[in-house]
Amino acid sequence: MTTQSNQQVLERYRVLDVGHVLAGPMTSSMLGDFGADVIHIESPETGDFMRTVAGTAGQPRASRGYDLINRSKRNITLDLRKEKARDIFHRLVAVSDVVTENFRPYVMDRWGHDWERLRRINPRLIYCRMAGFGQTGPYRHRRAYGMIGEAFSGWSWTNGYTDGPVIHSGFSLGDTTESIWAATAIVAALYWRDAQGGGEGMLIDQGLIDPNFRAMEQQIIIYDQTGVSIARDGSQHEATPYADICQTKDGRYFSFSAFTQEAIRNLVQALGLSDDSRFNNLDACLQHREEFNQTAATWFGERSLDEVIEVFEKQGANGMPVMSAENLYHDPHIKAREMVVSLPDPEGGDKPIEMQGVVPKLSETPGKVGNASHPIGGHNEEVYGELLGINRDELADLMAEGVI
Amino acid sequence: MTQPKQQIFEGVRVLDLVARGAGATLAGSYLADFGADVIKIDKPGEPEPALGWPYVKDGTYLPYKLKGRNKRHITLDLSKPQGRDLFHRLIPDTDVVIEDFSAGTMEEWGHDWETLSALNPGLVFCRISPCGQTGPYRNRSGDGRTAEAFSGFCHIDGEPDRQPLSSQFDMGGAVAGIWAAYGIVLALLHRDAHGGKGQVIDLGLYEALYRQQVGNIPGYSSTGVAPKRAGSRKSGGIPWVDTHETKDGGFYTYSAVTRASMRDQMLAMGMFIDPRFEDFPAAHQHSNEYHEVAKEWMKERTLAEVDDAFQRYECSSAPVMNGESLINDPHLIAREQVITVDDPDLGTMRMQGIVPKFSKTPGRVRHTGERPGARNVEVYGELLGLGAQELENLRTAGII
Repeated sequence: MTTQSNQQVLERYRVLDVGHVLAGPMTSSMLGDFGADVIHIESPETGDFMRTVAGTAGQPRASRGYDLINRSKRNITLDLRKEKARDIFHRLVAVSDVVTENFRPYVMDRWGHDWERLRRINPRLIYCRMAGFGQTGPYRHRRAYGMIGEAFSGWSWTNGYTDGPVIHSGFSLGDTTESIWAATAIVAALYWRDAQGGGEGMLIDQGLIDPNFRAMEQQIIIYDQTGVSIARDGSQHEATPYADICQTKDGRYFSFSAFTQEAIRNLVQALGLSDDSRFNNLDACLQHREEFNQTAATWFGERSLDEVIEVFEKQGANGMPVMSAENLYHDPHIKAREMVVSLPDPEGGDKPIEMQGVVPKLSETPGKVGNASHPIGGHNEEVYGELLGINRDELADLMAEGVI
Repeated sequence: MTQPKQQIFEGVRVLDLVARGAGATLAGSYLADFGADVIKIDKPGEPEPALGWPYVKDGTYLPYKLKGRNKRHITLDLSKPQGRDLFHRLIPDTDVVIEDFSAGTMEEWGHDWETLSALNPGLVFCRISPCGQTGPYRNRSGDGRTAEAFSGFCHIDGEPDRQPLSSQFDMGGAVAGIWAAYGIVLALLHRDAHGGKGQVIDLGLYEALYRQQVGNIPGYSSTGVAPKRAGSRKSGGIPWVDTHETKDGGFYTYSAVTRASMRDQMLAMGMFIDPRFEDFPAAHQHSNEYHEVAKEWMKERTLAEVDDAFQRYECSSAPVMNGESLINDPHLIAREQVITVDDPDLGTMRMQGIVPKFSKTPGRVRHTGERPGARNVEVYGELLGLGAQELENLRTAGII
């Protein structure tokens, strides 16, 4: 064991990302933020589909978050379907620590990259497979992108206006939650391998639907014990009146929430209701729920957002304004937390590319955003030369054959 | 080389101070499911989260059976001098402390980083607060739900002409919990595999969902336009992503983002011959019509019929599930995502299984969540050598 502390937690690890669209590439960029050498492998023919999605909607690619999803990595091309590519991929696997992929289970197997094969090539390999419905079970071959992760996890059923239809979130909640679960699992497997005497790699089966299903901890237990399927209730919460979103005098929205006795005391004090026996304790307030809703709506409607924030801060009551991207972008706290970072455009444009900073903040090994995304195959020469000793002429041949 | 550990976090001790009702309890749960000795510390006499039915049944706060799974529960008043001393005696044999108090609270009680790291330089101190430990809003109060508002999540959740929504789940807290776990495992790897020291992890609750909304900041920065609420349809006009009600009152979601999956979706609804949708630029132009056609098509069919048609073409699609359909689903049961366990209060009960699945170190459920202080005798005896009389005195003084 060395005694020298390294600058970045993951700087000695290499990750091969054969993922596409969102969940796979986002996972590897999270590892890249903390120093891993991430190599994103794309099809030379089509590239990662996310590159095209932005174009088809007639918007700059940045608006789809492509650069955020693909930051902190190097980009190479390799057509995994081709015989010659299989051998090249296996040579890369031999010098890597982690492979991430988010195809359906049979796809990598069909191309000759099943777990048994890869572990023989590199017994220390961690293979993180992120199929929609996982690697086992009757639905394992179902396709699943984006909102399927919300729908099948149970989340969407609980989101929407009371008595109205199901409403999905405004972004890819399912994929991005899968990504942080997968990144955590990969680092956990590295921990076992390198710090717990494990010595070997392992297979991680992390489905898209699993994380949100697991994270909504009450849904199975409550149905099992009471027969109630938790359902949507607008911005309110069915088991307490002390959580809602109300509009302020100046047209902003404010979210308040109190799930402990102490938080309830602070909230009713902020709203000036400490002495009102209809509202100052949970049991009574549940009985007078409609009146409480109206009282709260009136209270917020008579105050500007700044006034509301001041009262809540003074009373230590739980509450935050509803923020848009515009509000966040200009917010002094977001700036102070370095939650917006600016990177040079990798395609040479004048305007820097701005995106979210590194989360979470680690005091000794803080991580950093390596680079915005690169053009397709931008590191072919560098990566294939450095890792496999393939020279320029050989690369030209491989390119002509459509292998890279 | 020593013998490999059976579980990923075997031998790692965690003091988990996260409030019992908070979604961020997931940080400690993740470590506990994979073998860490997680000691959950509650304030003595502090009641369970203040919620009504169906969250509480016969005096039992139901979600805690899962939130407290695999954790050992003790009580300790961290704010009192005697409690502080006991807490500090636990620190040398502890690897990780996780706390979710408002910024400044731990300092006020004498548990600042300088003090704790002096007691144990290898300590990983994971701090989850509403807005983080720095910046102008660091002293604001909030929880996972208000974090959803501040992260930008609520602003884009709901119909365009109506107010923002919040779901029934503490998604803000639960997502922050797993980001916290990420930071903790990174810090443990740095310490135990690379010879590093302990360190502080500083996570604002809002930062997890904020970081995950990939298009938000890049989009506003590059176009000057902030995304708005758009119902179930994604902003930007992709027509192949939506949810509709079926004839029998279910909801069905489709979500295609690749060319192949878009084509299959249109085939499933018999649309490919319609010139308005025959290629992708055309379908983009007729996005609203596509929405209406799909809506009508689903209204005429049951959830099962819709699913059959979509699966015939291997579409990226699924029924919207709820508690009842999830608990009975054959896929979730086959994958042991829904498991049956024994609980001393509730008898045989069902809850979620272990996520994710590691081939070598699969994790396991040792016991369900316990009541506050259930392991006082065991933990204080084992770690600090406290006997029955000492514990009784501490209990009488309101320390434990």
